[in-house]
Amino acid sequence: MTEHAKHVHHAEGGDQAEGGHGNHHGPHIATSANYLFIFTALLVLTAVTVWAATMELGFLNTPVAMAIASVKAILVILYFMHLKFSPGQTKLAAAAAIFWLLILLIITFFDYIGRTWQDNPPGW
Amino acid sequence: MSVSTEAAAHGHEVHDHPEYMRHQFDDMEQQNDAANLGMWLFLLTEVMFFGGFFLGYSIYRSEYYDSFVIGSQNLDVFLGGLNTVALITSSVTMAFAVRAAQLGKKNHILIFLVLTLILGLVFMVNKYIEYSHKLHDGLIPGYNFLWTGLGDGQSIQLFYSFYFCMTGTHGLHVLIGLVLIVWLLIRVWQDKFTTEYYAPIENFGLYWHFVDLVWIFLFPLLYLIGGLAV
Repeated sequence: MTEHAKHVHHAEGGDQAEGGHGNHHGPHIATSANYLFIFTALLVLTAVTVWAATMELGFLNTPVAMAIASVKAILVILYFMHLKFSPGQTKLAAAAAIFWLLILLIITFFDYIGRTWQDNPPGW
Repeated sequence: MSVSTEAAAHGHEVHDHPEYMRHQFDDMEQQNDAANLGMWLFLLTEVMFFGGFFLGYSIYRSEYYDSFVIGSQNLDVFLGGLNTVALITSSVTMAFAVRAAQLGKKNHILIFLVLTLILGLVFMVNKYIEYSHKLHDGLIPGYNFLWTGLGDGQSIQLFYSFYFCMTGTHGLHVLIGLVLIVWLLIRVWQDKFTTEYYAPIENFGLYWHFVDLVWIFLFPLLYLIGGLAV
């Protein structure tokens, strides 16, 4: 068992050097400083979003809040969830999630907006 | 377990791998990538699950904007903000727990998982305080909802329906997360993980960050509509 464990370790080491596919050889280990920087950015953006809510921005209040939330989401996804350093198929899965969410939201919104464009037929 | 030492990485024989490595994989990197992809696919379904809530919320909010503003301004921004900070902090402690797992530092994994657990509990306690205030104020839709202030009680009740469905489903996710952290703590304590096998910790981290993500959108959408009165 010990010999075996040693071997696996060796195999992984060899893998690192191989340079086969993409940038995914062994896990990417972020530095503590990196995580603390992202953490600080998230706290600052939280404060900014509360501050922005106290401003009179008219119809822009919600877009601004959503933009800030999206920046926070991107930071979490790329760095905390390691997507930036994940293999291609994982990035594809993440992109698919956003793509289908947008289909769900945008097409339904257009349906609702479009309903007022002309009078409903009698009986509706 | 018979061991032929050359094998593992490529073209291994049947039992020539550690317990935690499944037969169908060539090596640990492949297994870890597969586990990672599987977790993301699960999160994809979670995105669609919460997406339905966000969609319904958006449509009714555009329909009854004024009522949603009244309902929103009745929520406790301080508690909501505190919970945002608690979840974000718990996300970073979770990221550190995964990092400790990558580095094989058992004590650090335990410490950071416990911190994550505590922050998750703080979130749930705040949520409990918020919910019990709403119960006391008679703002539980379909149970004791009675709107006495200005505005259309019917559509304000709709806002509260969304509030409770969305934060309730989210809170359930946090609760499940807390149970999973306890499970992970036991597994770490039992030395079940190594520097090459820690996929359960990493995948739980992904789940936990996703729960944080949902809250990042819920907070402005529920607590900050129509501006804050200061």
